[in-house]
Amino acid sequence: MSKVIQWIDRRFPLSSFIKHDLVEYPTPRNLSYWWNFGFLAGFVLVLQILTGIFLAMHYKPDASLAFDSVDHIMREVNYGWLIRYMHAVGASAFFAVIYIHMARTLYYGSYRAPRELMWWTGQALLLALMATAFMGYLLPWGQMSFWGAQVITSLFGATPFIGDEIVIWLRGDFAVGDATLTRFFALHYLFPFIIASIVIIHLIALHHVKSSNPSGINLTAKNNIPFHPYFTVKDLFGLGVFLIIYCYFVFFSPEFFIEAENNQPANPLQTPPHIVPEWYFLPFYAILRSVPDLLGGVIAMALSVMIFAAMPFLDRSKIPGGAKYRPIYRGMFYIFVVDVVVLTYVGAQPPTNFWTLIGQVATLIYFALFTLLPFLSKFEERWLRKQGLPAEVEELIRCEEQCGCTDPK
Amino acid sequence: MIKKLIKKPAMRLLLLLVCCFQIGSSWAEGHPTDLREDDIAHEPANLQNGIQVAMNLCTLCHDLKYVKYHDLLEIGLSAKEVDKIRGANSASDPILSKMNDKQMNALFGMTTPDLSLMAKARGDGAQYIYSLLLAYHERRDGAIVNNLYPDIKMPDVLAYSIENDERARSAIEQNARDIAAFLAWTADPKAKERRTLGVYVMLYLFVLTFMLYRLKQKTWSRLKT
Ligand code: HEC
Repeated sequence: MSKVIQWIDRRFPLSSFIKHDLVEYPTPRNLSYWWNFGFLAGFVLVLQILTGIFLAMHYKPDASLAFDSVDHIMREVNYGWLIRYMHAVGASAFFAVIYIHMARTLYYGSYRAPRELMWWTGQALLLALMATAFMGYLLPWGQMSFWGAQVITSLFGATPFIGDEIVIWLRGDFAVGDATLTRFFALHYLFPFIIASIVIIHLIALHHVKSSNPSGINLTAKNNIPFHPYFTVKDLFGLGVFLIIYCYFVFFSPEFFIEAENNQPANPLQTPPHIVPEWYFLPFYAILRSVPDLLGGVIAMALSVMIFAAMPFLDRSKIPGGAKYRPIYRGMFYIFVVDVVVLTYVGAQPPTNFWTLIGQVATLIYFALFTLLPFLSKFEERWLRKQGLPAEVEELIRCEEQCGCTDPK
Repeated sequence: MIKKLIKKPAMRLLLLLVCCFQIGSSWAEGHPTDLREDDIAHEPANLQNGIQVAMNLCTLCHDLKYVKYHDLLEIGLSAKEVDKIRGANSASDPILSKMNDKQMNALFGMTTPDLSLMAKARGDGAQYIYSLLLAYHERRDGAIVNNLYPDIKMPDVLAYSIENDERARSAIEQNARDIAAFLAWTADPKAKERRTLGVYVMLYLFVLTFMLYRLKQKTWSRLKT
């Protein structure tokens, strides 16, 4: 065995990779459980790819066969029901984990220098994940699959001048149909591998800048501990907790995340009473609907997803430690979380006057938070420094001002 | 201890979300549905009664195309009973209506929906089917209407609205519940297997996670010194 490894090591840095990046990889000892979610996201990605491959062995991407083939998987394929429910619940789990991972990053300010590239690759991952989930949702070819895809693809029609052409180009036909289903299947199979490659870039960046930590201050060497065994065991325990929640849904409430309407085959002639996207798109859907003009709504929705990328520029405070030492930012963070929950709720309601109004207020708050951040963060920094910060924090800020070196060294 | 926990941002966030969820769900509860609330029993006897009624009545107009005759063995029918139900059909045939699409269109102006997945295709599926079948009543002008689905093209197939005898009415109610139970099974035939397996999986995960927790504590306790 060791001979084989020696042979490999002469040609490929296997042992040194394992040693540097998995075993000895220095990790801040004060990471809380909020730092588990990156690993969990990676785990769910693998889970989705594996269950997805097995589903693809029995699934038929053909408008006349798709719905029946899913039912075939549920009834006749050995443990097909398990694989399908794992995949369906897995999609929701993926978003839950990613949203918590993002919330952690926002709370602790982990998007700030030198981790901007991590944040931006993360943004790319979010977009790819959304695209994958959206296309995957068409595949069972139920009523909600069909009408969801119909509504979302038609949004591209708001593009000035070439809107109609873009919609036809996306659908491959004048309406969502067999051509759409087949291409969505092809892309739904492709995207996870693109996601996996972005994840690798995300991780290379991580291992270069190292993990952020709750204190926001770069720790001295003695406060870093090797990844193994400390974080391997901590991540595994977190995984156990995650699996308990995940399996609860898979085995006892698997249809929780599936719209009842989607158990009815797609019928292009019959529009469902109200079309709702999956829960993870609801906040953005609510923003879309709260702008009266279609083009404006599409722009607002796109902006609401993409605006995260601007966080490193919007947050101008130099106080380290994210929300923990920044009362104003902390308040904004909590308002943001509540606002997103409200938007999610509104997104699921029929668009009555009342809900539209609530949605509009929540949308305003959503964008106001991002717009005010540059001013409030600067104001907060001045205010906190006037009150007097601990000497070592001042030292850190000065160091950063001079050389931009929040470098681990 | 509790004070310390509440101080943690994680816990605050969790509390916040729980509160939001509570408010949200208490709002949602503010709108009662018109569904009947009594429990539907899913015992083998209920399912078997449900099959008999459904086979005699519902399959006149509806398909159960995702269910095959031999699937009925799974809920405790004997091979003989299945043979009787399937008649000239092969045991591996899907259960189809005696009417074809053309006849349905002529009769109702539409094709009737397949019932196999109906209990999953409506919110509160089984409860909905049960309530729907009994929601017919006779209006003053003699027309028979359905409360739950006013424009429904399906007639009052259980003849509930015109039955006045209390005993006969409660027998019809029982049949409606049993049909709903049967359709809940056709929509999710693996439910029992899934829950049984689920219990083992959860037990395993609880033990595993607890052991991982202890291992984590032990590993990290080495650090403090
Ligand atoms: C005489 C033919 C006929 C018989 C017998 C019949 N149905 Fe129907 N059923 C229909 C038609 C027609 C519709 C379509 C109604 C509509 O959507 O307007 C329908 C629709 C339904 C629906 C869907 C309602 C909805 O929400 O869209 C359910 C559930 C249903 N039937 C259950 C049953 C059950 C259970 C039985 C057996 C007790 C049964 N039906 C027997 C004709 C029939």
